Amino acid sequence: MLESIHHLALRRLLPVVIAALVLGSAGAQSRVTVLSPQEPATLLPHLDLLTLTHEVQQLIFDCLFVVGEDGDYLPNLAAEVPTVANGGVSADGTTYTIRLRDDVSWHDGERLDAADVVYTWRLITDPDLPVPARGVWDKIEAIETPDPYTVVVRFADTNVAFLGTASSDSCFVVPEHALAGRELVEDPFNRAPIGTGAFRFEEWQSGAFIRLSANPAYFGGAPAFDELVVRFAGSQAARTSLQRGEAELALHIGFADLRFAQGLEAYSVEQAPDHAWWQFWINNEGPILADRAVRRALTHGLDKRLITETVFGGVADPLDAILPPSHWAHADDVRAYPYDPEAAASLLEEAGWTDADGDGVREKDGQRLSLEILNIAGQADRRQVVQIAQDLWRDVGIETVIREIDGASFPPTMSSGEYQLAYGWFGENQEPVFGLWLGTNWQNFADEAALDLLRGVSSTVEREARAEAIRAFQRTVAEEAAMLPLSTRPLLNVVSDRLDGYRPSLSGSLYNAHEWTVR
Amino acid sequence: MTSYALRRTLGAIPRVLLVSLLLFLLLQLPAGGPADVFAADPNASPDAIRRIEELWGLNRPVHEQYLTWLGNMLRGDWGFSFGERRPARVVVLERLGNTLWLTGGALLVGLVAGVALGVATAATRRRSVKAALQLLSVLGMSVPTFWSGTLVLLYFGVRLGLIPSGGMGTIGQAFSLPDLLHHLAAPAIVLGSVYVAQWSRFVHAGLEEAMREDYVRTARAKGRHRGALLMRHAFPNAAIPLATVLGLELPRLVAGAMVTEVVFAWPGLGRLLTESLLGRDYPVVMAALMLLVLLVITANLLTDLAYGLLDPRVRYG
Repeated sequence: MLESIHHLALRRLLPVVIAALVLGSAGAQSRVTVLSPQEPATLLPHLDLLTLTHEVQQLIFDCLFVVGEDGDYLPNLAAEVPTVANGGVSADGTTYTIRLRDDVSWHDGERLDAADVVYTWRLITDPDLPVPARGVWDKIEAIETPDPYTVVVRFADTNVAFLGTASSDSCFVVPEHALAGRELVEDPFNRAPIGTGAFRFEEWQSGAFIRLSANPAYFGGAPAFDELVVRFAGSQAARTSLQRGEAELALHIGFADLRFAQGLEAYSVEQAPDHAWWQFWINNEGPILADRAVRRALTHGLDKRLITETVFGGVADPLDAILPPSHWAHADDVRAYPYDPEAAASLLEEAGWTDADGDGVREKDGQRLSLEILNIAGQADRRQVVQIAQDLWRDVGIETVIREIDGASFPPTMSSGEYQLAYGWFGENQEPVFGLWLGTNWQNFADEAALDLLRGVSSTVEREARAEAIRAFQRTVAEEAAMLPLSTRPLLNVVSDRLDGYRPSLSGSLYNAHEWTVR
Repeated sequence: MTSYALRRTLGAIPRVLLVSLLLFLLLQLPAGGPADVFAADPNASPDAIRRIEELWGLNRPVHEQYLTWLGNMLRGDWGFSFGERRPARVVVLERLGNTLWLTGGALLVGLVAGVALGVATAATRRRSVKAALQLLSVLGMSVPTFWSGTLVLLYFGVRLGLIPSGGMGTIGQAFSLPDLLHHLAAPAIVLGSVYVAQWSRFVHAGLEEAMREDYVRTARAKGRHRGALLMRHAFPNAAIPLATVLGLELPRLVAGAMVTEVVFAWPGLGRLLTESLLGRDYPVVMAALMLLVLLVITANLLTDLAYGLLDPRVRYG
């Protein structure tokens, strides 16, 4: 009897159980997983310069403007992009009037208004906060808020970089109501932020992942999926996840993983827009390198295409100017130094560098043509590039010794001037700031007339005039071989075929994640 | 025994202080400091970098920085992580817990499988089996975990889909022990396999030696069978060297799990330590290293005390 009741119950219940399982899985959370090789240190904007931190913050916070796919500024928290034509920018480029959207809410329900923009400016310029980059915020004289949704930004001098800063570099607007009067560097907000973005913060497991949920009230439209998880995965863990098809996107993979990623089914490797490039710094004040002939010989003696085709797997392009072709101010008419070992050798001969003792290394007045290349340790592709350069330069009679140091030692070693050649990369903003030349100037470039061209850029309102000055500067640098550009530095993302709507821009690879759909 | 433990603990204090000073000075050796991590960025201004150094107290003389750090440490304040902007103690202890799961699992695997393999090798009389078991243990010892871990992931993770691709738990799910064990199994076995190899050889060697002792011969003469001889008479003696090795390995298990942590994306202390070193997060580095120092000293003490339990002849004076 008992048995038959059980049997009956089971037979009646079984369809219910199956139905529940089916419905349960249909109603399951839809999730997009993004792999990141690095973990943000904090989610409070403006304290960390890591590109990948910016990528994650982009999901939670918003900027006044964003840079679209084709490089144009688009309104975001602002209702429109201010221009001289629409009266948003004063003719002298000192005043920006920005109308804010009035329908933007913070994740806790509070309304965003002009006071938040003013607070963001105060936070970035607070001398008691460890903010490493203040961009043009530092140059703002005053911000006025004539009404809750209008912000008037005043600069003492013409400033053309404001839209650039307010759209990509340090642009995230933070909530005054949640942060004012708090001990910011120690606040729990850093690890559980409130933003206006398309995704709300849910959970952060150190060393493992950050989990975000869709913000149904997002002013740009609610995301089409429930959750977005950013998983921190080094090369090995990322490979496994991709092979299992567990991720929709893997951000910023290294060259060592390129071939693997290209071989994956159902994924493709795509380049995200970025104005970055690889280069050899040349210390123009070095005893040997002060000689332009040596600098030119080094440039002629480097087979850039060999490196881009081998180490960079053919995805980077050789570069002659000190701004990549993706940048609007790139000069394509600079003096080029095609790979030509004979030209390099004859330049050195003419300058008096000869190999009298036949040991393969040239010398002049008793000094050997021996240079040190500074390199950051720990990355296979960096070492390969430097080793190839070493071999190529040996062919023209230049001896090089590689010295490897860690990343944090690089800047102080460079600024001390105790280097001759150094390998690394550099990135410039959409509205260039020329930190490489007007800031650090590790290459000790001393042509003041050329540098003045750059100094004038930030106060030139007309974009074409700015571009011409920047191009003239690039021509001078190439003429002097004051820097040795190697190639573009592509930002490589691995994108799943299931992911639709992925459109990276200079604002980041994830800035339009709310428009993504997953098949 | 209590007074012995107390004396050993007090005696360790000057050693801990000396090690802390050396570590602190070592960190100052390379060029550049915590704020220089930002300095390569085009947007970072040299003024801002200097201001950050000031805010973080890095512009003060090294001895002053050390004394401040020491004073705070003694009061239980481990400093503030430059990178994560939260107390270094929280950052480190969070990861220590994760690492202890991994190393605890590996220890268990190493101990159980190591003892079993060691006893089996000693018990068998067939040369071919002995040789095969020994070959297995040599292999385990020589294969690096980054390679074995990758193979395990490729085969069991990608090909068979039996194990997760990494991490400590299913994302978005509340903590559950079965889920944790599911994630733990593969990395624990990979990390533990190294110790299986080592420890099985110790057990094997210890047993072979003990089996030649007079008391074993006496027991055999009294008619006890081989299994009882091995386990009742020989094993307790063979366990003594194992305890020493175990004690010495304990700190290495915590620090040396780094490679396994990277391969299996395990959010442990080893990964934190490397990342903090590269990011020059000195407070976190110091907190993690001091924790390891304390672990070494504690493990050594426990090893010595364990002797007394395993070997009644040992007296503490």
